[in-house]
Amino acid sequence: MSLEQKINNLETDLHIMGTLVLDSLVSAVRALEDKDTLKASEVMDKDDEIDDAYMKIDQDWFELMATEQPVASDLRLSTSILQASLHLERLGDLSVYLGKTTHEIHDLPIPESLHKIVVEMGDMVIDMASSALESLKNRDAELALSTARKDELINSLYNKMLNEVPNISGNKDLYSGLFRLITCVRTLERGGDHAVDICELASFLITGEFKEF
Amino acid sequence: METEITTKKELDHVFTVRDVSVSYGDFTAVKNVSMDMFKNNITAFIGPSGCGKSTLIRSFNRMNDLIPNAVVNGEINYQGINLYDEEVDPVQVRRRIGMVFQKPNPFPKSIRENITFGLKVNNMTDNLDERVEKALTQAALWDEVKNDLDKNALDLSGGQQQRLCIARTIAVEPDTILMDEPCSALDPVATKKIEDLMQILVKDFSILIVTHNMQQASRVSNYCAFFTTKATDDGRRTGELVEYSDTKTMFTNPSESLTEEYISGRFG
Repeated sequence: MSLEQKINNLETDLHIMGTLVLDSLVSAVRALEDKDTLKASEVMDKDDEIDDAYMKIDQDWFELMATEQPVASDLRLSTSILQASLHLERLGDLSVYLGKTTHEIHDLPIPESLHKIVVEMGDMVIDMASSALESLKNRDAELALSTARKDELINSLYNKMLNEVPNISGNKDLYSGLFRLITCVRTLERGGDHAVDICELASFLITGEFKEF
Repeated sequence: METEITTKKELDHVFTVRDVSVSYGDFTAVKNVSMDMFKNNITAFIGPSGCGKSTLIRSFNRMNDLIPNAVVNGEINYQGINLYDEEVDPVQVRRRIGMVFQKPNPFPKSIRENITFGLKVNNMTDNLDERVEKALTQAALWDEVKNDLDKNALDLSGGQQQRLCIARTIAVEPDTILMDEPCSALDPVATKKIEDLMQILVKDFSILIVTHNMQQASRVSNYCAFFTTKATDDGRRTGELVEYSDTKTMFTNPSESLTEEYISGRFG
């Protein structure tokens, strides 16, 4: 197999993994929204598939480095693929975390306004992760930059959530659910960061220079 | 020439090359090369066969003078001196700018005589034993041959012969070493020894290396020049400099698509 074919296969594997992760995120956010524990369990079970996809990319990259020693754009592409796969793996872990949160809160009284914020953040992470992968696939620097900028919205929702907390924290009945949701938004906020990191890789691939967005 | 070179030694540029073309009769092997090379750095020349890299490096110590019909146009300044100035003595040039060739070519004499020959030619006959030891030590060969200095150099292994040639070159105390594919006839173990040696030598010398091995260029050099051949009107091919940059940039983000294609093995 030629170097070009090997790198093409690596990139195809990345986008297959991306589809798995996006499916998982969508199911996890919908399960959280509907407090659907069955769907949440399915998401958690599916994580092994994502981990296997990550391990395959990791091993194929390692073999590629050992046997082909790619340089220039081949080197940038293969290394960006490896790094993007790691961010996808973490986004897969985020889905698992959302699944666990669904199990924890489904029978707890939770403040509805905060539940909405969490779901909204989840949808934004899905949107960002999807666009980040598209920017990488289409070598679209503009899309990478505009997607990375969306992280500000996630951060502002995160802050909105934190600002709401003092209004509810005196209510003992809502405390347990509140606590779960706060840790959940922190994890979602990190999910946005992983999407931004994928956008940075897309930009690096196109320009050859690494810039933090 | 010697006094002038010594006084200008502190300059950072070891070679300043301007619009240099080298021809053999009516055939131009390489044309319009302009570049600066830096002191105490390793500069690698890469490119497909026939791109003129060996021709060019040979013009840096006037080895092309020995080839009939070879003409160098343009200007090659070495530490501020025009190497092709009428008053410059080519023998002195070759002492200050030593050369190591593709195939190890020791004289069919003893190890010691291989070192002392050049010293005698250059009237550097004081402390001969000391000079022999110093050169062999600098070339990382002393420990392997110190008890066999009278052994015929041709009995050494290929890698040892090449290090002897390096020792022979540095014995006459040059400033710069030109290496024309110094490892292409060596196995990977001997190649690694030469590459490790280059990293030590570069502290005291400026090194220019021509290599067909791109991994070698990326491993050993600080700066890298990529040459290629282009067809001329008469159907022949002439070498040209395509890109010259620091090695890291060349192997991670080259600016020319021709460079990218060559270093990633897509042409040439």
